[in-house]
Amino acid sequence: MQNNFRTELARAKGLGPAKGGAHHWWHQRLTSIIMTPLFFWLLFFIKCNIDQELSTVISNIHKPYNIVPMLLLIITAFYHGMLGMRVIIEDYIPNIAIRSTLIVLIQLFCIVTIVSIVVALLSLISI
Amino acid sequence: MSEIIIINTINETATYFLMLKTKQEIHNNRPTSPHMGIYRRQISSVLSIFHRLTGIALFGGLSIGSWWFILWVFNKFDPAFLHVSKFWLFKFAALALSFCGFYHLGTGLRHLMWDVGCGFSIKAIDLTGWLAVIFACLMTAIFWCCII
Repeated sequence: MQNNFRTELARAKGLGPAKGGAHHWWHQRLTSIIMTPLFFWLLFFIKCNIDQELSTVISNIHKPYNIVPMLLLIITAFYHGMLGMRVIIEDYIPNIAIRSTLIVLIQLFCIVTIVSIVVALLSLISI
Repeated sequence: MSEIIIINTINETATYFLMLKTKQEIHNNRPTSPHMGIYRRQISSVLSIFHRLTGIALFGGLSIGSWWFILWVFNKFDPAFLHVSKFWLFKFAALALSFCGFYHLGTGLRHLMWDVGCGFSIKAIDLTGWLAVIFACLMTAIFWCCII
């Protein structure tokens, strides 16, 4: 029973949840909201560039209203995909060792790919 | 009787190696949710499964496409990389991925709708589910008509 001056409620408060742990859920929604208009930008970009010469396409990518959405879309898409793959792995792989390994591998893969593609895009527009 | 035992053994071995169940679950021999064998397909469950499958497909397509682009740039813009668009497999993949994108967008918007607390009635779920399917098919058709 109660053996000091703190109430049961005060002792229980703040002990249970870690005050976090839902950020991945929110980030998944946030990236999906960001990607919805960017997806339609991508369709428009493909429509405009599908039958153009390579040099024209590259000069179009130079334009800030194309390179900014492109970088944003790639980064948010990989982040969204990383979170989604994590959820799927957590749901279907009961073996904790394989599950953790796969999650870490996918996260590493996403980080490496994002950095590489940003470097590649920047070197594409700097030629 | 012996056939049943053999089939059971094969089944258990397969589930163990594919890690569909944990060792404990196989030992207990208790059914695990959602009993896919006897589960009646509904629009909500089928769309949910395909939301995940298209998500995996989009992640795979995005990864392959990204690395194709990265390797192309780091190979000093090797023109050989651009020949890939001539293969029918590339065209099929582009068509399939565009459908996956529209589908994932449609069902994803449904998820966002549920997140803000709307459309939980059976009627609304059926309606928005079919709307998402129609949206995906229609947008894929319009998109390919526009770019071809």
